[in-house]
Amino acid sequence: MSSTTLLIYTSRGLYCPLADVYIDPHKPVQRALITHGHSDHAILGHRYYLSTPITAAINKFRLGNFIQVQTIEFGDPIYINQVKFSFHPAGHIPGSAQIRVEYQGEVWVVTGDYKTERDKVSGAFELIRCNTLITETTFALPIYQWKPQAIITKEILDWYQDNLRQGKSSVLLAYALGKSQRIIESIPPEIPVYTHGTVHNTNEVIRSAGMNLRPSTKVSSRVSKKDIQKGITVAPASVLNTPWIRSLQEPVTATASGWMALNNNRKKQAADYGFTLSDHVDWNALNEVVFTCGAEKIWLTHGYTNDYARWLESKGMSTYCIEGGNKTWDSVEITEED
Amino acid sequence: MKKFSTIYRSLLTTRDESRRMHIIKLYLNELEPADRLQVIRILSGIKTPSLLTLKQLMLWCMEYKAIPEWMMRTCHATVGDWLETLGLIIANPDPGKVNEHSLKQVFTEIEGLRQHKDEGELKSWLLDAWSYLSSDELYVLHKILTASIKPMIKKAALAQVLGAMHATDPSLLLQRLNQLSSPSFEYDQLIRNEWSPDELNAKPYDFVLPEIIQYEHVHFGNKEEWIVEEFVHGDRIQVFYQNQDFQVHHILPEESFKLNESLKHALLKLPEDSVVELLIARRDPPLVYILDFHRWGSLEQVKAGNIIDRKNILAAWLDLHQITSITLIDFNPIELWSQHKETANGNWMLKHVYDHHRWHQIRAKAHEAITALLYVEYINQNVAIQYNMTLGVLNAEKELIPIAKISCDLLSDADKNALHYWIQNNTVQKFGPVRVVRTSKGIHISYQRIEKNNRVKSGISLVHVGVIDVITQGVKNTEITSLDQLTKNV
Repeated sequence: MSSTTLLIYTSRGLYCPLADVYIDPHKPVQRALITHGHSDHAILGHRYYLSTPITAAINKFRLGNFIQVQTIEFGDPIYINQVKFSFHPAGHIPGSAQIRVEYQGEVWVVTGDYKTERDKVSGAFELIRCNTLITETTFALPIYQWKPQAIITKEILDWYQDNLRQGKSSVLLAYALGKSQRIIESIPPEIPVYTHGTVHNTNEVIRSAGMNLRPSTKVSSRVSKKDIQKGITVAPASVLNTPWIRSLQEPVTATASGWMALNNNRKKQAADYGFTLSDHVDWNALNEVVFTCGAEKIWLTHGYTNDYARWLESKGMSTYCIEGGNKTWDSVEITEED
Repeated sequence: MKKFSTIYRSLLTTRDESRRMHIIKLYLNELEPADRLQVIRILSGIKTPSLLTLKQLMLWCMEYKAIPEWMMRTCHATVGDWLETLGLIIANPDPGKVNEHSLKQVFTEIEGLRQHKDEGELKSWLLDAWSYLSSDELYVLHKILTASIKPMIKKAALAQVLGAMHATDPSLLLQRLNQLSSPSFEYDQLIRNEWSPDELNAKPYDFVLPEIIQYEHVHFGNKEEWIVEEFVHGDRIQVFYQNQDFQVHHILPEESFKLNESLKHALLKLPEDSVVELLIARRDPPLVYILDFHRWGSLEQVKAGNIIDRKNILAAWLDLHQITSITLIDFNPIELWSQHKETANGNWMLKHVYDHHRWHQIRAKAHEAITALLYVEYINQNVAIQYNMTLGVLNAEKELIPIAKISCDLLSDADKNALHYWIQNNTVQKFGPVRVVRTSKGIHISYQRIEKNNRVKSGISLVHVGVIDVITQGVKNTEITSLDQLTKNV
């Protein structure tokens, strides 16, 4: 078979015609392989889900307990119509995976979202050799080069100490799934951590899936505001300008996101401070992955697909922009059978 | 350098001046006094001559990072600032080399490079710096090299910070901050809390808010010497105090003028070596009284002092008291007024028989009424407290009918806010920008006279309406003035 037909991009998402399965489809399908639990990758409505155990727990929590999920451990192969699929750590959030697809010696890898820097909760990214790599390009410009997390953690702790001296409450705004857990784990044990209900519930789900997270306390009427002021509170960004945040003692807010790398974004945001902390791969790591995985073809999705494709082509690589680019494959409409 | 660049970024990404002041205070406290002056120079926007151009910097960056020009432009389109773009692209996020350069060291090195004027030396120095500086540090370094540093805090705010740190008079610090570009200036010299003779000469005079004096104290001399004439609109006066009496000093004919502008203008027109008392008035709708006179020295003193600041302070004070007109003196000349009551124009002036420079505008005493707020119309829906209020009184059938429409600009900010909040909670109906409100809010108004007006339901309209007070407690219908009471004045 031709190497280009192992996966195709359809109006429902990435599709493997040989196995009749989709990877991270964005419309309801029969069988979906899910890389991780974020809502742009795992939607409601598929008949069967296949994912890692932690992602399965997250999806059941997010989408409902009724969804039919089959779990698969990292590295374990599963054959669907003689096509071999296996999940490998992506280092993006707890349970996140890359999906390796192999058929008759041809190997394709769908990275999903990923990062190569290791944190304490997301697992270590595994570089997989392949013929075709389908990678995200959310931050695929040379202006996005992340500092190591240790440096960002120090910045966060300095900010917290400054707030503490002024008698203010430190509220760190981060995505409830992934970023929050990463931040919580990076905070030294002597500093108490408080969480918004959303983050707390997500933590509980991840704990129930067997992952050890450091203890944290949910912000509630039972917790004294003075105690909260002495610790770091982690909450989703949606709490800004809500009664919840106003109930805290002189809250000072800071957003943790890769977009905070740019001064303009920091200035525009509603929070008081910004820390550049991303769960996505940066420019240097992306290039390292692309040029060392051995792929002859690179498919690009999410973000700066066009610009990165131009960059790769200038380096002699063959590229396709499957989403967000000018040069796309024609979407093939696949009709789902009941 | 590291700490400074972090501070610089924090300042850049906040619009809150008090937070800026706090950040700078914390940072300056951490620094050695030797480094503080350098920091203050940068933060107040003092530039050193540029050492290289942005284009040169871009070319070196493209060569250093092997990035094509189109990619640089794509990055710039995302970031929006060339120097920030270069900093982000060049910086090694995890450099092996530790940067322990202080800001002063960096400046010393730059000064050395500037004197050598050797491009090769500059390039190798820069490439070395690129290998270990973070993006924030590079941003600041590039700003210094290309002389594109902008002031990060107002000098007055910086003077406040330094004043609090060293218990030094901020106005003295402000004067000295203006001399910072001199390279021989030292930090100790900056913070010394001692006025030198030169500084004392340049020191602005303390502005003392005038004490209010009652108009009863005003001595107009013999009443027989005054006549009433029709007031000519647009004239304005300055009064000075001499020999226990007020005299008109200037009459400046101008069709229309703004009070604050007129004061500024008048100040500059003062004759030399005259000692003048300047008129300041307070609005008490609809009458305006002269309240006090501020003593000014000779013209030389006025010029030597920071006249702009004085005028600003004066303007602020006038705004605070909502002074909108200055040309009136309440002489309460009831007898004189009664002789001319039949004249249609309501504006008059009291003029001295022998000295035509001595004159004062007078107006009829205002009438008062309690009205109910019927509905409001938002003039600009994006700004909550810009609206017109329609006020009503009771007619014979005990119905509330509109009698006047006035702008909320006549209210104080506190009243505006309170009223706005009340409107939000007491809206009965909405028609586009118009809101019908519960008729329980009383507005105590004053008006000069009533004219017949057949186009409105009430048949009359009020002239020169002012707001005396907003009645905060719920007003009852029995307290509202009736139409009959108003029409007695027609």
